[in-house]
Amino acid sequence: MYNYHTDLVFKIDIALLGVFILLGVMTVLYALMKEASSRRRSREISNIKNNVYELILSGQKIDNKLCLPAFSGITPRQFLDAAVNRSREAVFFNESEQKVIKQCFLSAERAARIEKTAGRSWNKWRRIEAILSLGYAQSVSSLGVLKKSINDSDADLSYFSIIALGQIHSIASARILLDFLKSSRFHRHKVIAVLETFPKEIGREAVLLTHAKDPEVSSWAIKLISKLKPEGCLKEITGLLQDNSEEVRAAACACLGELGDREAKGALIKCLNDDLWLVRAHAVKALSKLLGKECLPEVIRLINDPSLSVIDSLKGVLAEHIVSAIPYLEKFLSGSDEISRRVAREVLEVAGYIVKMLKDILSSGDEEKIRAVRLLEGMAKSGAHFGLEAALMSFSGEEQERILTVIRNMDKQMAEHIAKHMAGEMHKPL
Amino acid sequence: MSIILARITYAMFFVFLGYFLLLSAFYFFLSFVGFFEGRKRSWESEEEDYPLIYLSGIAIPVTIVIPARNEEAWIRDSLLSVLNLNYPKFEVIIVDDGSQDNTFGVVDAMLKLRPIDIPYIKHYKDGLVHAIFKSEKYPHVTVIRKQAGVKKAGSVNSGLNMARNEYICVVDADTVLDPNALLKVMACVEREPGKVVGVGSYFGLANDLKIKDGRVIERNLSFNPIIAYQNLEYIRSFIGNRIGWSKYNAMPVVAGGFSMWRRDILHALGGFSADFTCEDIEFTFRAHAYLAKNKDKDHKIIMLPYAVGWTEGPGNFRSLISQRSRWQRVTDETVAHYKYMIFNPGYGSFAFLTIPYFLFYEVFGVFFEIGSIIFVIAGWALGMLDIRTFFAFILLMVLSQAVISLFSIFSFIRVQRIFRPRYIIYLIVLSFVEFLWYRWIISAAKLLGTYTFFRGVKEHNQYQRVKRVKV
Repeated sequence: MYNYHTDLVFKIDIALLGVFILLGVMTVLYALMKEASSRRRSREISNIKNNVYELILSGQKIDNKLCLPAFSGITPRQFLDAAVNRSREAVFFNESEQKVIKQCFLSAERAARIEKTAGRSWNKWRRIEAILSLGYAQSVSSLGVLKKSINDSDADLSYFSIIALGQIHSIASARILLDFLKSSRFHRHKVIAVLETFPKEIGREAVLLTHAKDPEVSSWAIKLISKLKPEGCLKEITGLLQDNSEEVRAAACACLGELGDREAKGALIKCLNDDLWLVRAHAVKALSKLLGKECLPEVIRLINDPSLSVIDSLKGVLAEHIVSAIPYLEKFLSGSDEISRRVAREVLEVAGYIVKMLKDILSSGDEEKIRAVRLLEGMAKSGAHFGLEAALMSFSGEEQERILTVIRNMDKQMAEHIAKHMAGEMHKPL
Repeated sequence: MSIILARITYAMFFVFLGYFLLLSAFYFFLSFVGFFEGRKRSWESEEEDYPLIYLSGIAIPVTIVIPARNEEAWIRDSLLSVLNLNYPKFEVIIVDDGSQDNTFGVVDAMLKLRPIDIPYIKHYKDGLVHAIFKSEKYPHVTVIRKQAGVKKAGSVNSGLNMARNEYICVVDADTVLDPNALLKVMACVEREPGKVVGVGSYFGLANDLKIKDGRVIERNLSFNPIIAYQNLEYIRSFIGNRIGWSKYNAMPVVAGGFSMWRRDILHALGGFSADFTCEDIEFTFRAHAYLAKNKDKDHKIIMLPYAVGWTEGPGNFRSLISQRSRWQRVTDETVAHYKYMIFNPGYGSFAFLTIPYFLFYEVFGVFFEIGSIIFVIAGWALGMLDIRTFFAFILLMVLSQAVISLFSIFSFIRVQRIFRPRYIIYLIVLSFVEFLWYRWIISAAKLLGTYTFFRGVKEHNQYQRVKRVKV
C-alpha cells in the first residue's frame, strides 16, 4: 500500500474547515454589523436634521456660537451625508437646511483639523472625505490644501480634489483647475464638467489656455468657452480656425456657433472648404446656430460631400429649418443623385413634414396643393413609402382615400403597397 | 497488474489533489485581490458627485441596444427600466430579432411606433432588416425589426448599425436595470474616457423578485435552491473572480446581460461575431487581442461591483443544463480559437493569467472534477484507497469549494447590501453542500457542452422562459 499522506490531507481539511467556520461567522457578523451601522448612520443623520431644523426655527442669526453646541461632534462623513444628500432615502435635507449645515460645519478649529486630515492622513479614503468636506463647506481658506491634493500622484485623491474645488465657486479655485488642465493629462473631462458650472468670468481665464502647446488642452478650453460664453473672445476663437490641429479647428467652429456673433460668419463659411470632415461637419452646425435658416444657401453645397458625417450634420440643419429647406429638397427629389434623394426623404421624415404635406394635398389653397403634390411625386419617384403609411394613419378614412387616389395617379403599385400595409400587416409577427 | 493499478491510483491521487489545491489557491488569490478592488470601487461610488454628471452638458452620450427575441414576458419591464434611467444623454435601439410571439406588439403598444424611411448602412453583419420604427412617445427610441438567423450577435450588430453615440451599452431584453445603473457605470468611464474601452458590472437574478413597471419593488430573493445556487455562482464569478481579473486588466468576459463598449473598438473589430455560439466572451477575447496587437497598453476593460440590474435565470434543471452547456460550448470555442495567445508575451497578463486559467479550469476542469470523483469511488471500491483517505479527499473537495464561495460572499457583502442576513446564512449553508449535488448537475451540463463543441454545434438555443406572476 502506498503512503497517501492521509494525515496531511486531513490536516488540510481541518485548516479549510477552520477557515470555513471563521469566514462563515465573520460573514454573518459583518452583515449584521453592517445593518446595525446603517441604522445608526440614519439615526445620526436624523439627529443632525433635527438640530438644523431647531436652528432654523429659532430664527436667530446663525453664527459659530449658536452652531457649536449642536454640531460639535459632526464628522466629515456625516457632514457629506447631509450636504450631498447621500442618505436621501432615509433623511432628505432641503436647500436651506444644507445651507445651515455648511455654515455650521467649519469652525476655525475644525477646519484646521480637517485640513490636516486632508493633507496627511494615512487612510486615503479618510483623506478624500476630508477633501470633499472642505469643498462642500466651501472653505476658501483651504485652497492651498486642495491645490496640493489635486496634483497628488494618486489618481483618486486628484479626482476628488477636482470635485471639491468645483464646489468652491471662486476665481481662485477655477485657476487651480485650469492650471491642472494644462499640466496634467488626467481627468480633463471632469475638470471641464466642473468648470462649466462656474460663473462667466472664468471664461476669460480659459481663453488664455486656447494657445496651449497641447491641442487637447486647447480644445477642452474652447469647449469650456462655448459653455461659459465670456464676452470679447471672438477674435481669439476666430484665429483658432487656422490652427494646425483639426480638433482645435472643429472645437473653434462649434464655439463660434455657440457664441452667436455674426461677425464670425465669413470665417465659418471658409471652414466649409476645410480638408478635414470633422471641421466641415462642425462648421455646418455652427453656421446654422449663427444664421438660422439664412445658412441654407451656404451649407447646401455640402450635399455632395464625401463624408457621411458632414451629410449627417447637413441633414440635421435641413430638418431644423424645414420650411425654408423645401425648395432644396424638391430639387434633390427630382434629381438623379441617389444620395441627395435619400437625404431629402430622410429630412422630410425626421422633420415630421410628411403629415403637413398630406394636409396640404387636401387643402383648398392652390399653391400649397401644387407644391405638396410635387413633393409627394418626388417622394414616390424616389421610392419612399414607410413615412407615408404612418402619416396616412392620422387621417380619416375618406381623407386617406383621397390622398391614395393622388398617389395612385402617380404610382399605382406604390398606392397598393401602402394600402396593404395600412391594413395592419406591418405590425403582425414576421 | 495490481501493482500497475496501484501505481496509477497513487499518481492520480496527487494529480487530483494538486488540481483542487491549485484551484483553491488561485481562487483565494483572485478573491483577495477582488476584495480590495471591490472595496475601492465601493468607496469611489460613495464619494462620487452623481448630480454633477447628471446635470453636465458634456456628459458622454450612450446608445443602449436591446436585442429581443420572443421576450414578450419581460420586454415591457426591461424597456421601462431603461426609459427610467437617470442619465442625461442616451438613445435606445430595440432590435426585434424575428420574434414569433407578441414582443413587437408589446413594444408597439408602449412606444406608439411609426415606421420611418431612413438610410440603413450595414457596417456589421446583421441579417435582413425589414423595417425601422421611431417612437412617437419617446423620440430617443428606435425599433428595428429584422429576420432571425444571425443569433444575438446579428441583433446587436443591427443596433450598432444605427447607433450614433460614443459608448454602446448592450442590455438583454430580460434584464431590468437599476435606475442609476448607467450613471454609476458612466461615472467610472468619465474618469478615464480615453482608456476605458469596456465595462461590465454585477447583476443578480430577477426570479421571484417583485417587479412593477420596470422597478424592483421588493427584493425578496428566491430561496428556491436552483435560483439561490445561481445567485451564489454569479457572486463567485462577478465578485470573487472577475473583479480580481479586472485589477490586472485581464477580464475574460464582459457578460452580455449588461455590457458597455466603446464604439471605436466595436467598429475596429467589425462588431460582434455570429460564428460562435454566444458573442460576449469571444468579443472580450478579441478586444484584448486587438488592443494588445496595437500596443495599446493604457486600455482598460473593467468590472464593477455595483448591482446594475436583475436578469432572469433558468427556473428548472432542464433550462439550467441547456444554458450551462451553451456557456461551456462557447468557452471551448473561444479558447480553441484564441489558443495562439496562451503564454505569448505580446498579450500581457491576459496570456499568462486568464487563458491558462480558462484552459485549466473552464475547459478541462470538468474532466478533473468528474475524474476525481470516479477515481476516489473506484479506488475505494477496488481497495486501492482506504476509507480514511477516501473521506479525507471527499472532504477536501467539499471544503475547497465551500471556502471559495465564502470568500466571494464576504467580498460581496462588503460592497453590497442586497442580501439580508437570513439569505446570507442560507447561501453559506448551500455553499457547504454544493459539491454534494448541484456541482454535478453543472458538471453534467459542462460535459454536454464539451460534447456539442466537438460535434461542431453552434446554435444559440434559448431556454424556456419562466412564467411571470403579475404584480
